[in-house]
Amino acid sequence: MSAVATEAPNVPPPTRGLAGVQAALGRLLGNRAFNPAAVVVVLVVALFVVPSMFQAFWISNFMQMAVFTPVVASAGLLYGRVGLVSLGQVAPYGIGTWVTIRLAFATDLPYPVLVLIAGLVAMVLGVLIGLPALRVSGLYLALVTLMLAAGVEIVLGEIKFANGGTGFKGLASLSKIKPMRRPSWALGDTAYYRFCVLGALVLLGIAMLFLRGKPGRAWSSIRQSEAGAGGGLFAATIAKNMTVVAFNRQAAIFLIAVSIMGGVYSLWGGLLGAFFATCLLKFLTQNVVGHKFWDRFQLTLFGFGLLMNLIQGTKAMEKKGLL
Amino acid sequence: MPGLGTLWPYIIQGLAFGAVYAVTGTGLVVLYRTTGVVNLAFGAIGTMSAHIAWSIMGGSLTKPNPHGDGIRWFGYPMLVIASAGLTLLYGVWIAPKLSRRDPLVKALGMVAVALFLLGILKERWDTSKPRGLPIPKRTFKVFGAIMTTTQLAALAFSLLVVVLVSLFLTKSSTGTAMRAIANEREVSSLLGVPVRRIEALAWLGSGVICGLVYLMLPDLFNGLDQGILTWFVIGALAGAIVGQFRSLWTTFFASIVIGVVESGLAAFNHGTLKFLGVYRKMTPFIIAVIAILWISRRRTVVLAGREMQ
Repeated sequence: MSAVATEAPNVPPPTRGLAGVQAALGRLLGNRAFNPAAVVVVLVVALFVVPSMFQAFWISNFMQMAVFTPVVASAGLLYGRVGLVSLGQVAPYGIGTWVTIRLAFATDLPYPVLVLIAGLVAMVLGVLIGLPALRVSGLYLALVTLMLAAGVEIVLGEIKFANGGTGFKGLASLSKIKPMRRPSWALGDTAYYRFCVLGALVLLGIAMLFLRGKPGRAWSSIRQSEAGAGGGLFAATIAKNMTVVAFNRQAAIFLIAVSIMGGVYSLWGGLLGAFFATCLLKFLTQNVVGHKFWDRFQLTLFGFGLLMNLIQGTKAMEKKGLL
Repeated sequence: MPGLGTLWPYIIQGLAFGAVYAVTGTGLVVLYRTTGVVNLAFGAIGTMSAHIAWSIMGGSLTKPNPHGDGIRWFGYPMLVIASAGLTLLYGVWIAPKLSRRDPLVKALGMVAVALFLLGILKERWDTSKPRGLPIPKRTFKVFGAIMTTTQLAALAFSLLVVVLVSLFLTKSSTGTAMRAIANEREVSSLLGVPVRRIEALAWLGSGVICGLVYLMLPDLFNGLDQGILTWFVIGALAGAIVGQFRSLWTTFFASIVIGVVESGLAAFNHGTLKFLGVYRKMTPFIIAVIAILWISRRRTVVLAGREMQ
């Protein structure tokens, strides 16, 4: 991908061992987009202020926001960083969710390990499935990734999500459906919300490390793994019977819309986009006009937002003489 | 392995779906060649128009399958008018604001329109209730398999559209202007080609094609399912990708093959090859990916001369 290579910044020489870790940490903390003070403030608010101020309903929504943040960031950064629009970022998200749920029922592995495996599997499958897509960019990439998302939706819709049964699919009869397990130390919503916040932080930290590196195929693969691990966190937010709705074609274009609306040049865009997608609508539903209005009109709202974003962006580019 | 006798009804069904893929692909290719826009909202606009027609024809919870009897026959032309109007409205009002951006951003504009319309569809027409938009039809037998007039009309219509559009692009002055804009938009403008008017015409044509496609689709799918109808366009894109958004005839034949294979695989509904039937809906996507592998083998991708890498 020549276009990708030309946009790569100066890459520091590879370092190993402790020096490598120090260099990575330095890159992480030295990045303006990941200002340590701002991160600490957000983290304190998310971990301590939010649980003490809000009731269960809102904790549940903030949990969804925490889960969605790295997924939105993964889609947004691909566009903002290297100009690649992937309309199929829900595919690794869905794969990560499926893997986590299946392994949660089949094994006793600790939950964080499941999330890690989900990220790795999503990355490997994402690269294998998306190998043809990695050879193209621009409009073609957007179309191919949309098709890949549609393909994964069909597969997930067919094999369904495990619910405590046996065999490869792990499907049980209606009367034998089991609830999805959570980490033993994060069984309640508030505790699991905190776990999601920390998980999202780790994933954003990994993303930030790679932001300073050379964007290329490996970089692109990491975006898949973040979405996959995000799926791992998402898996236990639904108690029973996960469905493919969260990973369908509509969700695919919804994800790119909120990514662009949140901002594609910084990780904070992921946070803002996830806020739009999860909490803003609930706020409007609870406080402005009726419940069904916002619930049904949410797609219209995001469609309008995306269109305005594109038009305003075009006007700004014209003013700067970039078009 | 099913025999030809078993496969034949599926092939007939596949020919009809392939034909509708082909018409949709033609609409997408013509618009892309003229304006650089991949109309990802094609399905949403068509589905919205079909629902408008459904309401005009008196569709309701108590009457989910209204017929065009009496004055309500007006619903059918309204479907095409609504589709053409919505598409043209975007083409003359919003599209010029993004005309200087690359095809990717233009496509994202259409994604925005799709989301916008999907929200309205969800609000105005509850997605959970089954409904249909049947059109008057008859059935007859072809080599023992039942075929409907809608399926025959889809086949004839697709062939007609490809022939007429090909002739229009090569023989008429407006078609020549469209091709000129596709190759060199700025130069064409300098030479006096009315770019905006020609582009508006392309939007209108695409909208009319969309309306005609969605006149047939609900009948072919036996229902007005918002999800299926809206995302039908993604499958149809596969044919256009095989044709590299340039060749109408390649798009046509690829679409027909996709439709026949997708439908034909439904015959594999038992035994070791059952998975072929189960995952048959992946056919357009797999064919599109194979096409991209083939197209990108020289690591150069060109879509109608607009995009190079």
